[in-house]
Amino acid sequence: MRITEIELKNFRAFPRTYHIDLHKAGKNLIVYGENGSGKSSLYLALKFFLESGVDTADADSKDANFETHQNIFIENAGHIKLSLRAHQSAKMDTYEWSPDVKETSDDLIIEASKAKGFLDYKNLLETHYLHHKNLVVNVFDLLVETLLTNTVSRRTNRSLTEDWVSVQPPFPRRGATTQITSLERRVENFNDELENRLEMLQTKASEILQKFGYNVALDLNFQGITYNSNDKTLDNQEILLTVKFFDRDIPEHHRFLNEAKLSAIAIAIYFSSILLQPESDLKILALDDVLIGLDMSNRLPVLDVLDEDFADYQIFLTTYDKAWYEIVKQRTAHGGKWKAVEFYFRQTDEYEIPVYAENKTYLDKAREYLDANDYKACAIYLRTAFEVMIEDFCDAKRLPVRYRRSRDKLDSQDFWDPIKVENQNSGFLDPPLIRDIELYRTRILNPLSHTTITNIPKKEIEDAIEAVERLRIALQ
Amino acid sequence: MSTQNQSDCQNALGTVEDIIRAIEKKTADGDYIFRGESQCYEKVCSGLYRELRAVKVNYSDIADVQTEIVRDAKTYTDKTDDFAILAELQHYGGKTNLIDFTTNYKVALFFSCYGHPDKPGRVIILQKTETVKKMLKYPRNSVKRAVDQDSVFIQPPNGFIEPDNEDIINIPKDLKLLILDHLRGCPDREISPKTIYNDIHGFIRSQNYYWMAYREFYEGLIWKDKGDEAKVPSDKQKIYIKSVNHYTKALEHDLQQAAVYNNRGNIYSAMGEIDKAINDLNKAIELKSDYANAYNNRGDTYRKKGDFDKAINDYNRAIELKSDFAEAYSNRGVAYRDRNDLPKALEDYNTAIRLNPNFAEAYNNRGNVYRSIGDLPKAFEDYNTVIRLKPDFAEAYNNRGIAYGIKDQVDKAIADFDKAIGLDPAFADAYCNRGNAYLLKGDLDKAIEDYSRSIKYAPKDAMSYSNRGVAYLRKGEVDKTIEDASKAIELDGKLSNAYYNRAEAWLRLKEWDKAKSDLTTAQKLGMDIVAAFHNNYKNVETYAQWQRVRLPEDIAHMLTQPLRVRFPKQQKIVSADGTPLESSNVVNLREQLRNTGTPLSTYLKAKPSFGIKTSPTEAFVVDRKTRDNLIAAHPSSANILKPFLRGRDLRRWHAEPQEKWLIFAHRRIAINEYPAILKHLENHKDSLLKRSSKQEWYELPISLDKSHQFSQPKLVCPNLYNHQTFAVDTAGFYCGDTCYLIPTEELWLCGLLNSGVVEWFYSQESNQLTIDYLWARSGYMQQIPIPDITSTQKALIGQFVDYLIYLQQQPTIKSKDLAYARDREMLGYFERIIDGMVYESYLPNELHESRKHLFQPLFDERLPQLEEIRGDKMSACRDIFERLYEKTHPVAVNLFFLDSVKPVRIIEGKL
Repeated sequence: MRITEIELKNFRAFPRTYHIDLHKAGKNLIVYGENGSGKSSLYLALKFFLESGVDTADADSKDANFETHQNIFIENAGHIKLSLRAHQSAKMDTYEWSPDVKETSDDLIIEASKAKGFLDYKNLLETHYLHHKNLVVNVFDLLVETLLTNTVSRRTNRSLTEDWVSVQPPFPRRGATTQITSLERRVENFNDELENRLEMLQTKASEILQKFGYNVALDLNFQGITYNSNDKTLDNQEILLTVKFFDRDIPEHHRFLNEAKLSAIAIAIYFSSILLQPESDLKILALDDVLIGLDMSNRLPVLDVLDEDFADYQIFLTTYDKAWYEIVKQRTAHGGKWKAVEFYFRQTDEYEIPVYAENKTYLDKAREYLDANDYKACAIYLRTAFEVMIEDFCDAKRLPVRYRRSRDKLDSQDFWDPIKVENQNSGFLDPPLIRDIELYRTRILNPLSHTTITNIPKKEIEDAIEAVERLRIALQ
Repeated sequence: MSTQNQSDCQNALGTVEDIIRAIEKKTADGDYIFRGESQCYEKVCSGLYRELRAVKVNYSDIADVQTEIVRDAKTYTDKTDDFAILAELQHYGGKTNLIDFTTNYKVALFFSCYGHPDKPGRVIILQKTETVKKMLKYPRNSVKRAVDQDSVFIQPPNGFIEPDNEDIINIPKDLKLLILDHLRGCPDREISPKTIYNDIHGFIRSQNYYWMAYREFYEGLIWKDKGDEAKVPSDKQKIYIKSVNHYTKALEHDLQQAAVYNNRGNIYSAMGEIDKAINDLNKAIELKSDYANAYNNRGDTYRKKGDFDKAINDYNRAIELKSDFAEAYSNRGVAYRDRNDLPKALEDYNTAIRLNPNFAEAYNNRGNVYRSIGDLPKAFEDYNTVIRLKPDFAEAYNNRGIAYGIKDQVDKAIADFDKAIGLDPAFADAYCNRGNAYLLKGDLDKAIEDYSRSIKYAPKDAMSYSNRGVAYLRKGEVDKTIEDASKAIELDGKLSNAYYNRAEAWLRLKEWDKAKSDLTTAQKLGMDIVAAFHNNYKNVETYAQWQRVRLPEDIAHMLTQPLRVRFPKQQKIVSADGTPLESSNVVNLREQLRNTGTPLSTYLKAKPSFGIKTSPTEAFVVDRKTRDNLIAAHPSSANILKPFLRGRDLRRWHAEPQEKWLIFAHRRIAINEYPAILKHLENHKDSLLKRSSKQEWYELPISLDKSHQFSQPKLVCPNLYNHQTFAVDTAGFYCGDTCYLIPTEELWLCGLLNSGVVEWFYSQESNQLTIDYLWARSGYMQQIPIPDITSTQKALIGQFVDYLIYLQQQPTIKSKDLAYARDREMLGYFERIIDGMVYESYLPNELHESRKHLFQPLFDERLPQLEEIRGDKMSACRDIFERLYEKTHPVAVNLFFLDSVKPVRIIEGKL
């Protein structure tokens, strides 16, 4: 069972309708996007869609309510639609989640939600705060409060978080023996649950870590938390992570546990926790910017692990690292299992809007919006077409571009100027084209134009599109 | 000629982009310098020129004046270079014949917009022609500010220059703030007071400007206070608008401070302009992320909007930031109350009052909660406190009035409403309430008058319309009732009363179909129309007498026959206003289970019962040493010393007897044949005699020899437990009265009774949701439905019960050593397997529809009976466990995803 199409409308960063085609095969997806471009919204759209199936008894859970995610500036009701196929030639079923329709209460979605793997970079931030001493790190918080929270006990059907919450304060007063006994029983239960998970995890995670290229074995040593009824504290909140080396030659192995390695270990543990539980029909693994914490040399093996261990899963990767995106794109170009897409975002006078052209070019999208009389969206796509075009050109020709502290701060002028300089040498742009581009750059192709765009005659926008098209041909 | 008047100044371009484009277009070819002026002076001139003009000096010798100034200035500085001195003078605001220009048009734009928000500004663009170049001076050894401003000077021979009209770009006053905003966000360089006036003298300059802003801010505060005091809503609104205007001016003077936004947002909120209020408060929080007051205010605003979750979030944040923030607690309490979470509301009010014992509003709010949960004495106490603390608090009188109304003390209620209205003549609620009181008294005209006033001050209040409709109905003005009820329904489609009232009006008009439709809607919305009809007319016959019309059969039926009650038992949990809190999911599932199979009492061949009352225990129950002594003293003792179990010895699946024996002395035995026992009992004769029951002093209080009841195979559970705890006993233990006995040899029943389904069902049925422990109660126990499953299915469950009895006794499982966590996982997993089979027994259709099967894959495993296992039973069990636990095994998969079946989610408390 795989997702073949995703449609988002007025969900978080997506104000209009966005359609992502994963083809009949239900391809994996790698998304490149600048920060704020909507890639995290896509991640959350999948996550909340899956989770929305279970009506929770918890009234405070707002994520289960579609309205929470709608853009308040837009009045049209939004939706998320996922289309699924059991296999390429199977019938396609579409499931919708919106304020009015909720088709996610199907077993298929509920089970997918329970078995899914969703990890984002925030989950790994904690690895930065871990301190180690003689190759020993206490990973209790990382595991109990982040990585293993949603793992479900095979015997009680409770999540680790539920067990953890059941031993949290308020603690019974001193001398309340019945309550203390009952708390101690919950503590024992928590210890058993955690220890049982750790035993299975350390083997599996070591295997994965070895595929990452670290010839080591993990040891997760947990002695059990204990309740101290005198001080009313939960003591021994310790899971000591030690790494055993098979390969004696690792130089400076006391430096082994740096942040990148801890990230790798965390990912390995998370992967194993997913792999150790039963699988649903629809298997989704989504990683939002998680691999950037790894050294570049370890990211590629992660792709191998995804290939081998998560072969049946449909994988969604997002990243803001363009170089890494290009590598993945290249690596996965063959075999037809992956699709690579890019999100950009553009500021308008009302809100930021992600720009995503699916299989069409941005210029085509601009024309499409022009035909639909949505000048604003048209201008955004046209501008994106222009900017991506000249950026790519500068990259390809290695033209010196003005230095800005942040890449976000670069504007089209910074790319256009070097192109003009280059043009003086080789003359690939004719003067009328330069004049047109510069005219439209101020009139239409800049962020400030979007307020007034509605006052610009359609003809002029058409001319601008035509000018950018000419530029595209000239730059080729 | 450059002279311009102000009106010319306003003929300008329309948008920020227009202006930028105009400047860029103009300066595309060649080299330019720029000057920004925030107001349009008559001439583009130097400060010195303007000064001299003001005192009407003949200004033709301006160069001489400047030379004098420089000469004088030299006595104050070490500098010797004339131009350096001039530049410094200019920099510090001295009067010179220099005109500030800049090479950066954005800086000029900044100056054209910074200041005089009520006047248009302008940008002067000079091309560096030969003439201009002659006047142009570049600052040397510049101070930082001059550098950041890209400063250059023009030193005009006459003190002024005369640019052409097309060299002047006019800036309309409305665009000034937009441009400043734009400049602040300039991608290459932020241009703002902070970067332009970046030294102390710059600060002094900008301070002058800020002072105006601060004055506006304080004016805003003053008007807000006046507005708060105003009583008449229209006045209040007007005064608030003044305050808003002052704050807006402060913002226009670029006083971008959180407090300004907070205060203005707060007023917008008071004025009911929710969206504007939220915008402002967002901005305040954006500027100052730890601004507790702003969170509190935004919380209030969200609450007004009806978005309680967001409101509570904001209050939480406010409290987090300021732990003694009594108002935020009180406000959060209100939000909880609005969300109908009364216990949390109460807790918050208590905290607020603890933090500030004179906090009238918190008492008032708490009083309201007490009132709504029916604790009137406490409500009155709180309202009285409020009135003592704050005698002009109209709301408190209104609330106390309502409380009097509930107590049927109508006159006292009216007196309180009078008082409330006296204090606040526009108090819509109080009018409505007084109307209700008059309606109760039968004073219909006064009631209608009050409702009408309430509507005047709160035109969107459906309740006032609906109630006025009732008053009209009583007066017989049926058309008006229909009008009012319809209006009420238009305002609030869920107001069941309005539908009911309109239905009554239709009945009077003999519009039977319309009446029926409205009655149906009222009923669907949860109204007890039978009770309402009974209260108003008693019954159909009296209605016929009064209204001289016979109701059609179907309507009469609707109004007199309560909806068929599906469950004989009352709903258990009821909220403050009487609506059941149990979801229909739970109610329906319970009903479904109840109708599955046969009740336990019918299923069993013998009756369940409690064990024997053994008090005084020290007489009848003995330990091993005493037992051995008794037998040693006389061998006959062994005949009536029986192995004994107490409730506390019971575990799930298996009992752990603690080496106790019961002296089974009952009426059928001849006590003299047991001399050692008799002697032992005589030691306790005093306490034995104190028993109230009428058997012989040495006898247990049982009339018959019930020994067969104990000696046969049975299930035993403690009389008090918090988790189903049935143990299998085949060893013939005698039990005390802390045990409940179910005589049966069917092992699988132990699995059934220990399952999650039965625990859920029993805790629901036995009405014991609210306390920690469950009681074994014979009446309810006997009602547990036993599903109808095949004997092979029963055998399979029994087989796992056997495994569990064995496992329960293994040391690794009894230990707490984490090295054996896996063994305990096995025990829990086998229990889960039984749970799964029991789910399948009760809910076969639901499970199978979702393709969840447990019996079949377990049959397929052909698991050995415990007794068939040769050799190490424990390692055989571990093998079975690992096999069934394997993540791809259908048993594992089905158990893991069992809760995608809805009833399972309900039972596991996830729905």
